[in-house]
Amino acid sequence: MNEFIQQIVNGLVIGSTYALLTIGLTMIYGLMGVLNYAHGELYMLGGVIAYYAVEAMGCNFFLSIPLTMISCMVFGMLIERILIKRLYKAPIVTTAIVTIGLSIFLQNTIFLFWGSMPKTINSPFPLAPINLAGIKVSSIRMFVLGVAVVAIVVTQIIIKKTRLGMALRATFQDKDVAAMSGINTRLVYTLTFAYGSMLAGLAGMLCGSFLTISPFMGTQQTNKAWAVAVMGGRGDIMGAIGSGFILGIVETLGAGYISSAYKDAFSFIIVVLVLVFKPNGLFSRNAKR
Amino acid sequence: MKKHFTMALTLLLVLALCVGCAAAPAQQAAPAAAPAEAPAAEPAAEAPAAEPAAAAAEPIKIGAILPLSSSAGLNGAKIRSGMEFAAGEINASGGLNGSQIELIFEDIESSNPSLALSAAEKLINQDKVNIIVGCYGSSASLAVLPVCEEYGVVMLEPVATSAALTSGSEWIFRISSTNSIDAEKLGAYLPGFGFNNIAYLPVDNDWGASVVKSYVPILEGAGATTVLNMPITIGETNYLSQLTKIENSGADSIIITQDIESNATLIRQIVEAGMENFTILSTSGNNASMVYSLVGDAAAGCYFVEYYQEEGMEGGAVSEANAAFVKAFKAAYPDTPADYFTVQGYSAVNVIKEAVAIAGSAERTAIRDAMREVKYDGLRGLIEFDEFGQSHGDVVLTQLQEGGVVKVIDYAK
Repeated sequence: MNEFIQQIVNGLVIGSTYALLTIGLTMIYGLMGVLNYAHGELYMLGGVIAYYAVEAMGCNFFLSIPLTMISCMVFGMLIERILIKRLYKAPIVTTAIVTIGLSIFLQNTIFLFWGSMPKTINSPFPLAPINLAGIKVSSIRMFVLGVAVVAIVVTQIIIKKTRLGMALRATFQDKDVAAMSGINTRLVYTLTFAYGSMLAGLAGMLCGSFLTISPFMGTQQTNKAWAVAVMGGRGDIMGAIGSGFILGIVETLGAGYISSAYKDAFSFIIVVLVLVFKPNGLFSRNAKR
Repeated sequence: MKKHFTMALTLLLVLALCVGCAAAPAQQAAPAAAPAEAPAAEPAAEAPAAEPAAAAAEPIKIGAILPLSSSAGLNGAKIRSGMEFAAGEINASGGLNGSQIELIFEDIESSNPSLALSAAEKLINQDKVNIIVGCYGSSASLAVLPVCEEYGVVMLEPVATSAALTSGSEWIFRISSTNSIDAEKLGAYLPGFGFNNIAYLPVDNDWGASVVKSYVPILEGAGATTVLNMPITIGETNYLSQLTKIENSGADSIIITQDIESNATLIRQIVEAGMENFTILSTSGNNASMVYSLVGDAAAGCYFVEYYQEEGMEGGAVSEANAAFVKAFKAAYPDTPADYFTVQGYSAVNVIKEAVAIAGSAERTAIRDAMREVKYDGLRGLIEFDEFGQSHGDVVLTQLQEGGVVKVIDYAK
């Protein structure tokens, strides 16, 4: 039983980072119709920026969190303004190819000056775990889970309670009508992309403090995030959050109890099942399309 | 919009299929578009500007198939630096039989076998290389070997350790050790260090499988029990679920076979999971010093099967030639560690130099025949090839101590 609970806890932590990463992806896809294959690279940049802030410039670990978030937000904004903006009228596959190109470009640019060593951010937390009635969690993982949950809740509040969130939801439902009602949809697009990038950067930084950072860390995560986004349903933020946690737990249990060699396969088996039985997302009310 | 959505889903499904099915080359999915990028991996940065004097002689082309990106690329890039350094030295001193050496690198990401195959075809047929150095990963090398046999090109293997590679082909020569050599040399007394109930965490490919296949019978023969064998997909970064299972399985030790980055992450997570009382061994040349630079004192106490005695190892003996190499290399590449992988790149080019000198020509078959006579007194012992093309260099069992000191436990020539 202890082993089972331990596995669930393991899954929750990793699931929270999946959720964080996918919120941005699903927002960008749902709202803007952009298949952003470079999303994982913003996750990678989050890790890289935080690493340089903490390890090279001696910045405080906690201070580096907002710093990383702001940097990734600005970076996301630039990508949207310079690149994505020109592609709104292009077919979705064109955008996908452009973002795949961007992803390869970013990976290799970072690889150029990052060098041949994977690195980790040293958090101020001790590595040894805290023992809670036989369940062991390291403090950094608890911290990561905490920050992720806060970021998820804040995102929900922004979307549900603020004027910006209302503009966002309106644009998502019908961008022409939203534009007619005086919403600056261009700005909404830019902000959505920037916000999504910021969350991806945060996820990257959090993962970088308990996993390793390398220029190629985003590739695998992009695939995972797509799996979560599809499970959650197009543009469904609550769905993305729920699916992120579910995927984290299923993967962990699958690897622990079935086969660790097929850990990644579980996520895609779920995706296929969801597409067959609930094509609008795991949490959609009706499955009809 | 609906059409777009369908299209997006189709794309995703294809992607899901790639990743989901191919459990081993998990990295294949997103970089599916990447072969186009491979040639951009800076072909032969060192390519000499053909001195007018030597212009008459054709350059000797060495093709190298290595992972230069992804997590395996971290070590692949060190092999490249070693090769470039050696080629630079040779070219500066007048080249080989009057010919300059030209290196052509092909990137195969996480040692992806299908990328390796197309890289080999390109090197052999388009670039007309005289010899191939590669392919780093056992799976990639096993895939490329038949191609080399078909065209009659020697494959000089710098690092792969699957025993299956040197088991009959006359076109393969390997300057790295194999898992079965390692197991024979070290396996018998591992139980004495605390490896009694063992959980294996190999990477899910030919390399990982070969380690398990070679180590299990020898360790079991020495009295150890195999408790678990959990192969892990390439690119995995979070191992807590596997570790939780191991912790509850009754094992007391873990044998890790992973690329350097994953190896370091794993050791860190073992500490994070509160499993300090487990004895840990990293196989196949992952160096303690590099792991220390990644995880620090958390890795103290871990054992490593290494192939090269780095400078500064406690109880080690670094030869004069080695010290001179490290000094010269550091001057040329201040940011690249002079470790096993660098040395293997350096040795590969020098072994080729010897072979070409013996053959008196760089013709493909002549190189093969000359390889059998090569005696290269290198940086990790004498390299000479047996009838299977296998060399028997140093194997060093080390233990990482607090503060990053690496102690040589055993040194098997």
